Formats: sequence, structure tokens, C-alpha cells
Amino acid sequence: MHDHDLDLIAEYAGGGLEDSSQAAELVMSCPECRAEYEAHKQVLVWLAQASSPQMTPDERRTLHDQVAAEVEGEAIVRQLSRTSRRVFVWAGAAAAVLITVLAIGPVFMQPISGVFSDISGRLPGADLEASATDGAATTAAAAPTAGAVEQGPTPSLGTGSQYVGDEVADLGVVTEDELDLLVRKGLNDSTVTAPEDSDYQPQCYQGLDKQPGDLVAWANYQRRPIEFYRSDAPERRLAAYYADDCTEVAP
Amino acid sequence: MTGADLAASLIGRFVAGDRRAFDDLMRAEEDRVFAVCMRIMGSRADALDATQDTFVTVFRKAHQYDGRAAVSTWLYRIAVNTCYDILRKQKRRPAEAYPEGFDPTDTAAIDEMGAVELRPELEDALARLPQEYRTAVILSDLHGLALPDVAEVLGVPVGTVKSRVFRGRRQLASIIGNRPGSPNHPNNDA
Repeated sequence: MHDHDLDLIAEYAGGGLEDSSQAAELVMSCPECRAEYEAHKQVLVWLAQASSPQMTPDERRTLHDQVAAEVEGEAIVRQLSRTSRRVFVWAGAAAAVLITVLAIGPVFMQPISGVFSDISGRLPGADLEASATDGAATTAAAAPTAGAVEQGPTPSLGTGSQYVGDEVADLGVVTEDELDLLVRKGLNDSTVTAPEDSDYQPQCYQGLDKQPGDLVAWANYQRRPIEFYRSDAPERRLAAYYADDCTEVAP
Repeated sequence: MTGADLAASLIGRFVAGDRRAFDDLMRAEEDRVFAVCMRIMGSRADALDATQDTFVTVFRKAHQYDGRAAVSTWLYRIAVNTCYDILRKQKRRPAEAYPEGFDPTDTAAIDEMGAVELRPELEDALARLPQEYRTAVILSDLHGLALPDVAEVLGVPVGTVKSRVFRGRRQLASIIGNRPGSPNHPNNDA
């Protein structure tokens, strides 16, 4: 008996042949073929009599609890398209530079405040510039301004999962492995790291007009919100939802 | 709405942000997933681990479901791959998974434990099949998947699936047929 015949008979026994005439003829005419057919049929009968394994109620409950616990604490992050990632990388870099200039600019502008007074009047520390022409006041003003720079957040693109910065500057790209993630403020000082598999879909973005790649979102543990921004307007939060139950965060 | 439509709808709702749809999907499919895991892994504890990992993966990868295959096929694929991963990590065969003191031929023990729903000799024979034959037979002949669907689950051509299923059945018949006390054994009067 050829392998082809064996397979034909096996398929015949399983009822998978559209045209079974050739297989039927083999089975009828050849004792070996008939034995092969019977063997397959017998195994199929045994398998058909098997009942399906069932979980006990306790096992089922444990399964639900464990799956819920496992997915509960995970970040739910929407993977951004490469294009939008680039947009955000550049936006983050530009924002970091801008914030840096805004933060340290007044220090350098002190001696030439007359030249920059129009600009610095709109910058942080501008209130202190008002008395810049007074020598004593200038010294007094310069110190707290510099102090504010030192004590305040250091705007920069984040590295790893450690983020510092303010509303804009902490947009950035995390580690090499996390290039798909853009992280916004909220991870500051946290030890939270992006999940190993960052290929997630956000679960709480009902009601948003979703365009491919135009939302940046990240979520985290417990009551930290998932926030949504549009790539062309990262300063304006569109919506935010708590990751654990998808309730909306009040504006 | 058919079961397949319902599952696809639940996936769609979940991906769109409805977290409860995931719970519904899990409840609808967990028995099926557990059953296939149980048969591949051979032990309840491992099957439960595999079922848990399968649904965690579903949670993470739901957005990757593209609708080309039925949800059940996609779930089977995740479940089978999860089982294989666990088996690889354990580096042991499912037949070794019986608890200490458990006799797979003791029907009372089986019923009490609820672990093995197949006839003991068939369970034992299945465990002795090469893994790829066993999974193919489980999916095709125990879970009733069409051969093309088994091929989709396993990521192999249909011809390969046929070969595995047929050889698996042949080996099962051979193993069981040569066991004393089995229905086909020559010394069995029954």
C-alpha cells in the first residue's frame, strides 16, 4: 500500500473527502486498506467519546482573578506610528530647548535687560526685571531667578524611564527598547518602567476622534490617568481616563 | 448572532476601549481554551497557567487580530503557542505531569481528580505521541477544527497537518491496539 493510499484512506475515515469513490474501492478491495480504515475509524470513535475537560468553579474564579490582576497594573499605551513618533521626538526636543532658553534666559539677560526688556517682560521672572536698572535690585533679582532655575525642574528629554521637566519638556522617547512609547508627565520620580511588550492599545479612549498616530497616550498604575493629546497640539489635553476603570478624569 | 460573530464583536468592542468586552470574551472562550491547554499540557495546574497566559496575551494583542481567521482559530493559535512555550521552559513531556501517586489507569482516581476526561489508555497513548502529532490530533479530532484551520493555528501547510493527523491516529491505534486490556488487543475477550 502506498503512502498516498494510506492518506486517502485516513481522509476517507475522517469524512474529509469530497469524492470518496476511489477510497471506498480501496477499502472494499484490499484487506490491508480495510484494516487501516478500521483503525482510523476506531480512534475517531474513541476520541469522539471523550468529554471536554472542565474547570472547577474554584479554578475558574482563580483564573479570572489572576488574569485581572495581571492586566490591571499594566500600562496601556497606544503605539504611535513612526511618523508621529518622529513628530513627537522633534516636538519634545524643540520644547526642551525652548524651556531651557526660557529658564536660563533671564540670567543672561540681566546685564542687557534694556535690549531684551520687551521679550523678557513676557518670560518667567519678568516681574523681577522691572527693577533691573537698580544695581542693588538687580543683584537681588538675579539671585532668586538663578535660584529658581536650580530648584525647579530640569527640562530635558527623558532617558530611560526617568522623567523630569514640566508640562512640555518631558515629552520624549524612552529607552531604545521603548521607542514606541512617548511619555508625558506623570512618570516623574516613579520607578515605573514600560512593559516588556509595549504593543498595546489604549482601552479608554471612547469619544475621541482617533486618527492614526495622532494621539499620544500613556497610562499607568492605579489611579494615574491615561492622557490624550494631539500631536500638533501637545500642550492641550483632549481627555484623560483612569486606567483601571476607564472613568474620565475631570478636566 | 453566532458564537463566532459574538467573539469577533467582543474583540472589536474591546479594541475600541470597552474593557468589559474582554471579560465577556474570556468567559465565552475560556472553556475551549482550557480544554485544549489541558490536552496539550496534561496537567490541570499547567493547563490553568497556560489558559491564564493565553488570555493575558489576548488582552495585549487584541488589536492585532485582523479578522482574517475566526476568533476561535486565533485563540487556539495563542493557546497552542503558549502551551509550547511553557513546555519548552519546563523541558519535559506532558506525560510526566501526573501528580505523585496518581494512576492514569485508575478510573476512580481520574473521576475524583477530574483531570483526565479521555479514557486512560487513550490519554496515555496521546501523551506518548510526538508533540506535533498530538497537537494536530487534538485540534482536528478532539476539537473538531477543519484541517485548514488546524494549519492556520499551527502555521504549517494543510498537507503537513494531514500528515501529522493521520500519522498521529495511526500511532494511537497502534499504541492502544497493542496494550493489554485495550479493545483491540488480541487477548482481550471483551
